[in-house]
Amino acid sequence: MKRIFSRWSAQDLVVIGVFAAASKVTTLLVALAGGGMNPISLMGKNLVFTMLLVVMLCRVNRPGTLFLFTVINMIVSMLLLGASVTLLPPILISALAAELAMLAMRDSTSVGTKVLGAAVFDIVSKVGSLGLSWLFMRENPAMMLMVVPFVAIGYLGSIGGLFTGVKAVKELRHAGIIRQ
Amino acid sequence: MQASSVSSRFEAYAAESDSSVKMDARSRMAVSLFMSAVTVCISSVEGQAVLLVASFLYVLSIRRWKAVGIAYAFLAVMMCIAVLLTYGISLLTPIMPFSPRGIAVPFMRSAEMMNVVLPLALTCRIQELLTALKGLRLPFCIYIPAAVMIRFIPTFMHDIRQVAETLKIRGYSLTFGEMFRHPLMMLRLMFTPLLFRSLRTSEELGMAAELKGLESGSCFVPFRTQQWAKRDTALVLLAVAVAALALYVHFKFGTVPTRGMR
Repeated sequence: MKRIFSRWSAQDLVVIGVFAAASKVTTLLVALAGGGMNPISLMGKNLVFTMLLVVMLCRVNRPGTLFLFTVINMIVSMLLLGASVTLLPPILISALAAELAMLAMRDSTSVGTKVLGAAVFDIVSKVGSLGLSWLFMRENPAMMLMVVPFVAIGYLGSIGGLFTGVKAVKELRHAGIIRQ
Repeated sequence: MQASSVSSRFEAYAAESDSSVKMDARSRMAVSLFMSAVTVCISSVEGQAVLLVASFLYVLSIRRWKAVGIAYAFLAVMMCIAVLLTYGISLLTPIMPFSPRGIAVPFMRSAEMMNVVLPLALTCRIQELLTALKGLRLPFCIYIPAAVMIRFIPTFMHDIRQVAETLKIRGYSLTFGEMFRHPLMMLRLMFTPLLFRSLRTSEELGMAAELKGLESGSCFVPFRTQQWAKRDTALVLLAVAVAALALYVHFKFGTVPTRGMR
């Protein structure tokens, strides 16, 4: 158990914490700047999140990083931001699926592998969040019809985030900030 | 003049903090976690009403009237938009009839969650939250990023303000309309400096952590220790009692809205 917990250095853990905070604040900022849940801010919010995820995965190049990032995000959201406990299973499943997809790739350190991990995480978590929305709004199925297009639009932003993430990683490598 | 204004602000803040009963952050966390699980289980208006009344009294106990009022006004606006959209969908698809009871339950859930999170957000300082996290005896690899995350959020907001000011000085207008007209450019202008700042901050903080000898198995001494008082136990027990009452009302008197699932 101790070996699992000590695989990340203090520097890696700090990077994960900073990126968790950055993703929380920037997604909130984009949502507020766009005046709520309009299609552009929804896409922008998801684009920024996925891009940060790809950059973080390339910066902390160790298996299990995405899972740890998700666990930390969920712990802080549950304890301090009032996120529901029911969010935990779908998010953890999506993080595990993404980790398995990355492990299955031959070259686990390449940018392509990280992009695949982020893509799997996005799609599984979106499907999971739809299931969870049904659980919350089961008394009024019409509200679910409103949620599905919003999630689909958000997913388009996530796909855009994969491309911008690759571009950002290239620039950061060129600048010498990401060394691997 | 400046010092006196800071001092008067501090005194006002202290007076405001003292006016509400000081609870341990862990007890407030436990209540919010417990409520998030219970509110999903109950799908009747009657059961939800019990939770809503109890959580409303809880949020009023912090005596931050203005903040609570703003939060409720925001929730009311969101509710009006959702009601209008749901009504529109029900007109287009007759298999999904509009039911006020059905739409009430999801919003009662949101209001309850807001009622339990506001006391945590408005009464606990960052240091108290960090001490509370330490008190939960989380493993090193979870505690360090979580602590960094909580500590970094205000710094990050300060950075965003600085970047926005820099952009204004350079002649870019960061208005609502500009976000719609040039969304990608606005994202790039705001986001690229923030990404660089995040990476730089994480590098500096990481080096500082390594130089301070922080690693798995190191012993942390919290800046301040928190005391779990009798009133904290009472708060948690009260939350359990309210949940039990809500479940009883739900199963005894509750009517589940159309298509609802018990």
